[in-house]
Amino acid sequence: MFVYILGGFLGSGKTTLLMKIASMYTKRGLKTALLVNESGEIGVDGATLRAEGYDAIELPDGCICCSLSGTLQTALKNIEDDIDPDIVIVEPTGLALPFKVKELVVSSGVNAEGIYIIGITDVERFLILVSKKEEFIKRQMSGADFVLINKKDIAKPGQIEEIQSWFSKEFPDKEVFVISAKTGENLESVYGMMK
Amino acid sequence: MSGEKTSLEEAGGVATGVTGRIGCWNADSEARLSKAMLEVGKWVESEAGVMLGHIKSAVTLDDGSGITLNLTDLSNGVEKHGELAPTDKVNFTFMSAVLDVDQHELYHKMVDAVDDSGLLYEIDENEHHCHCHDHDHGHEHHHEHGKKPIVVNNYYGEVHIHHHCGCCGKECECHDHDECGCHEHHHEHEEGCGCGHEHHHEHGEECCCGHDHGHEHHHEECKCCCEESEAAVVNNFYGEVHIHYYCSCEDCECHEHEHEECCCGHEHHHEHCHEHHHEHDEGCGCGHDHGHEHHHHD
Repeated sequence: MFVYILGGFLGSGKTTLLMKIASMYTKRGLKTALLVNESGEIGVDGATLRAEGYDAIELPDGCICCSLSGTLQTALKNIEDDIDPDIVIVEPTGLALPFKVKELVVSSGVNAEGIYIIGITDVERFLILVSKKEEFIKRQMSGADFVLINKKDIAKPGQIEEIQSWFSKEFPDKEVFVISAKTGENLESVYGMMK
Repeated sequence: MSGEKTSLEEAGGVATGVTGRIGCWNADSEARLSKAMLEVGKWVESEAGVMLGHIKSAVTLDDGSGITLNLTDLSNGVEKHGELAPTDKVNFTFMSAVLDVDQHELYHKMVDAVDDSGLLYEIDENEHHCHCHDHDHGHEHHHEHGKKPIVVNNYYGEVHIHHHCGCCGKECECHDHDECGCHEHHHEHEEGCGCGHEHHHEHGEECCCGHDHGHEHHHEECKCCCEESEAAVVNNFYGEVHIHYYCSCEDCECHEHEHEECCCGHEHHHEHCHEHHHEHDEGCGCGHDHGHEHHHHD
């Protein structure tokens, strides 16, 4: 199976992207498992997914990259044993460090053919976020195999270019895509990057 | 995790929320819940300068179908996903994960926002960890009476706002805390309870809170046998170390009171811990005119 980790800050559009990717794989006839993590005791993303017709495994009340690391590994083993999916999409909390999640997937012992991190940012708040929490954002994006600048549909003039410029400077080797997970704009490029 | 920071701590983020049910769900309820979310968002912005994070709600039927409301940017407002027809009762979750605010205050704002929204709601009890009672709060507890249970159990500190003592559950019965045995109260005895209510302990009556305070209460109206003395001072007894304030002279060793009882009728618990040092016929050194004779055994 292939494991995809969607890494991005709170509100960047991870859940919306997760649903789009899950739909894409389902249409391709692949068995897809969704693992959703939320830091609060109260999970909403699971409800969001259920409301939209998706069935997800929820891991609330902690972060799978740190406080729920063991829970993540157990959940992955159970998913492999019980569902044996072709694809597992993991959505950590918006405050998680995806590279740590990847390390945990590697050490979980599941038979993953590939583990990829998709970094996702949103055009509206990214620069504010960088101005306040740049080190954290760098760490959050550091493990990404490629990066998506989301919410193209509501971007103001110059915003996208400024974010691209930041990624060019900080992560010159990473491929960056500008998309709208909500409208589906340019998602084909993303799907092209996936197995 | 051997002291290593969690990612939440590293980012300076907090996450909290509530679950419960909303009655008479319809478009108006949806607007009210959205407004509550916006209120919380505005508060986060006022606290942190900018709202970085998200505020979400899910409103669902028992089968899991329903809608979600999502607020990530105040200027864009609350986004709705899904559809839900008007119905008698729905389940709801309301959560926030944001940066640079106090978690307890955030929780308080969320509950207040729902409470002020006019929604017909009930919030699940025991939803939250009651971790506040292991701390020395250093603050007064202010029970708001007559509100919904989740509000009744609010504790307002100097800064901290604790709403989440789910251990009592039921509406606060003023000062009968017997059901809630989970915490110690940390009121300074001199200052009395800060809740703004009068406490109605009859003299000699045990405190109704069920805790062993390890001391006598301050008699407010009680007059000691020596009527002109300041009983509130005279009768202070703190724990095992009894502190009596009413004699400042130092050298008298002429008598002991043994097991005398005060004539006021109260049990003062005078142990053998003190001696009075008055020379016979000498006045007490406390400065008050006691207007009586002390009980001289001899």
